[in-house]
Amino acid sequence: MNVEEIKGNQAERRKEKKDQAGFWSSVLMTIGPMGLWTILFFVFPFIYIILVSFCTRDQFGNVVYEFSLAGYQMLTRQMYFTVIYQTIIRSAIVTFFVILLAYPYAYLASQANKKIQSMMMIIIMVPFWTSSLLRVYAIMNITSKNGMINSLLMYAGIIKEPLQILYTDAAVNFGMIYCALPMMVMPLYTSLQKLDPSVLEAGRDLGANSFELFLKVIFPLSIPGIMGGVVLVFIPSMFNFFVVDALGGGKLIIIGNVISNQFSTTRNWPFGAALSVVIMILSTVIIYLNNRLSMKAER
Amino acid sequence: MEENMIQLSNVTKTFNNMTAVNSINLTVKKGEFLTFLGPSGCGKTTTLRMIAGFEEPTSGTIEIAGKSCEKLPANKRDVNTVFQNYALFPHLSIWDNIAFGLKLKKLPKAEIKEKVERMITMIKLEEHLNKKPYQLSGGQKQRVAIARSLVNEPKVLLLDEPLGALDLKLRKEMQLELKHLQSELGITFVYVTHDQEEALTISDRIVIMYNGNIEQIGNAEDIYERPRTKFAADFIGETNLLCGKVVESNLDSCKIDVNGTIVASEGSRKYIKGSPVYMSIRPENIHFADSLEDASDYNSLDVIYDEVIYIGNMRRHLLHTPNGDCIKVTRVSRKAEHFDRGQHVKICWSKGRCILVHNESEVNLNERGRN
Amino acid sequence: MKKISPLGMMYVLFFLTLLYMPIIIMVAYSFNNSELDIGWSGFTLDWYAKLLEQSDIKRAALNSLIVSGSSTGISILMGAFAAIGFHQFEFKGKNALDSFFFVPTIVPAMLLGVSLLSLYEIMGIQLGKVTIIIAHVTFCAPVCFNTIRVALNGFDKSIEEAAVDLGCNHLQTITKVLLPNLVPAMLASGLLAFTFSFQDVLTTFFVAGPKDETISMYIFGQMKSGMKPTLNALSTLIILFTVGIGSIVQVLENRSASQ
Repeated sequence: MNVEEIKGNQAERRKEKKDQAGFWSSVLMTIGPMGLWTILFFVFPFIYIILVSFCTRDQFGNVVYEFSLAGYQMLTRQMYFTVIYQTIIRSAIVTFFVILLAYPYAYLASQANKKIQSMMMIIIMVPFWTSSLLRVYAIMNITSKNGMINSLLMYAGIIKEPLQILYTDAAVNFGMIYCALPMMVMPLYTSLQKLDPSVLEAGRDLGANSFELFLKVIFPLSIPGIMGGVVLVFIPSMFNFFVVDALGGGKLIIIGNVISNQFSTTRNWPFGAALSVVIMILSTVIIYLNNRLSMKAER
Repeated sequence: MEENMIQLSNVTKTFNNMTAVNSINLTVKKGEFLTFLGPSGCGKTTTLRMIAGFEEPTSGTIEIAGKSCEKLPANKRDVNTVFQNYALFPHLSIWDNIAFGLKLKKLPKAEIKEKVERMITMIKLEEHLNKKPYQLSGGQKQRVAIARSLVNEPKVLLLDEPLGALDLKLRKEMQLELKHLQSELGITFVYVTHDQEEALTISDRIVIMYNGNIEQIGNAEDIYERPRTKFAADFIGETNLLCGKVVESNLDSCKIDVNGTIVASEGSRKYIKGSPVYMSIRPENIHFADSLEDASDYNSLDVIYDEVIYIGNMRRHLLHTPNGDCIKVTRVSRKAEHFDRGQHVKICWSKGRCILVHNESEVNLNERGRN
Repeated sequence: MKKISPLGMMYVLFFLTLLYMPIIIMVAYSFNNSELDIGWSGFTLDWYAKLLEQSDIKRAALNSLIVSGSSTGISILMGAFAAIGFHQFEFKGKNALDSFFFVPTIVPAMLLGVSLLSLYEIMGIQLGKVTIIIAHVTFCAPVCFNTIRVALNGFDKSIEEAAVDLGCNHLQTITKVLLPNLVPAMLASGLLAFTFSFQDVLTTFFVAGPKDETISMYIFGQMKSGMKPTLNALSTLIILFTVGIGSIVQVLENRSASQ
């Protein structure tokens, strides 16, 4: 290469570097803020919480930054272990009933004609936009001793004294189911909508009755939707302590209550952090399984 | 040199491992209406986009009005593009759409007003000044797109299949309108289409592209009567292609061997002995030997008859050669020539009404003669 | 598609009744001239009037508006910037970054609150309105980002090329062509973000300062001490408010879908 060519190459490389620098600075200017924010206010706090779970606390409730498994050891205590166990069972039961109730509605909506479909979905939207808090309060209203349910039952002469519905286990479960219903309908509906009607017709053509059609064709094909709904219902239901507080009257607790207490009244942050970490791992496993299952089902 | 508006020299474009445009050379003359014609994927749109500046050539140079600009970004070139689906700004009125380029050039308000209004009158949309694009029909949107480009008085107007989305009748009207517009304004138009009838109607010159290569450049008559390559012969209009080898080549004619039969072509390009070639004969140039009085100066071939299709003023006969090639013959329906399926028939055609073409990728040519 | 069978219709009615009854009853009782919820004693707007007298409600409502308004504003800005960046530039790991941005919305709200609380503690930040806003932006910005990104994806690329063809540089293409057409998406996602922020309790509970109660926190506090007609009235108002916003979002989305 002669001098001219060498100089030309150098100039090109410099220009390329300048172009590259320009490119990356533009990328940083646009995506940077959100990226920085997510790292600063999402990733760091999570890393920190994991750190705290391995610390311990002093008698005043302050965090002591020494390695310790005290937080995790608390989990093995009978009392807390029971709470975790019971919460998972309760969330599973709630999720099961939510699926049971939401499925027919989602299925009927997916089979209706376009106009009715959008109407049915919009009607679901209204409770969805109403915050869970207010919906729980509404349940409180009707289940109280002076509430609608008792009033109706007494008016009809079925009972003489008002029943204790509020502040029971059943009320809490019902509250959770009630709040979660819209969350399950939507992913289910989306998944059921993708069902090719000719597949159903083929099933009938080959001799399946309604029950078999459901069991062998519709249900398996809707598993991705169910899984999506499960993630949206099961995991939050372990943390929804306000439902439990309001409808359980302080007599019941779930994992959400325990964690919340550690960070407010009891001031045992390492334990709260440890519990959070454990449940986070559990949730991640569920989400992972959900993805795998729905990918398998979609094949 | 000022006669040449665009100069493409050895322009190549590769995407990953695929060569979209293969070292093409082309000169576009000032004021001409040049059309790139070819099937999807032939590289015509990529070439147009390189002229516009939306793609950078992998190698080669592009000169527009004498200025080298293959590295110049699209917004700095003195060319404007009319897009296939119009690409009008949905949030701006017609007036603002057309004025867009002028406003960016920071021209005085009075001048912008004058130019835009002149354009709107030219495209006859005075009553729709303040409408938004979604309120217009396809044809109206098309005219706005053209106006938006032309109002900037570019040196070259690039049009990427602009009439593709219009219905047949409107398309034919617009073809003529575009042609008249171009000759009135005298601006160089570079047009891309896959519709050969459209290309033949409006262009001064046509560039046939296939697989990233230029197959042939010429005006409508050149391309139809004297195709250069097998693709060009087949793509424009209808033709029959007989595969053969050159046996004799001299000043006046070229003889080839088609499966044992010797046929000749006069006035064709010359090929060297032994080259694989195709003889292209248009269906309207083939006769049935029985109906000819003197067939001595004609090529003839023995074929087998299949069937006839009656299409109003024409009859379309389908036959095949002994080794299976399909032959199409169209005759005006005067005398009813009747044959049976399977019947052996002799067809003939004038030695001057057929042409030899080659497969561009197969042959290493030694050619004398015209392009 | 066939019509719904009678059995199906019954189920739909049952389901919708189940969903709506508690809310309708609560709304009805907010107009009931009775402290005790038993039977109907006549129509009244007293409870609504009483709401206006309570200063803590007014303060909570103001706090909510400030917090949610600011969160929404910041979320739209950050989300729009990032969406435009994603649209204009290609680089390795873009898909991973996309999923990464989305994670804050699927993490349980309480964990977000708890972990931010720890962060504030270690950084010595005092709890106040700002700490709430930061938390809300963290789970609202991805919503805006996603919505605007989808809108950009559906945007005809040749319109941007037309802008460049007519002389726009990068910045001009964004300001003169992209942004004006993104306004519906920004508005719709902003309203959605506003409702998420407005209704949030689980995160706000941990990161709010003592004087910075939002309306949702106020309601939560009141709920624990039993039912009150004024609370019914407040709830009704909030339901109207959020449903109203939701409807506007729906209308916006329908309009942009038809254009």
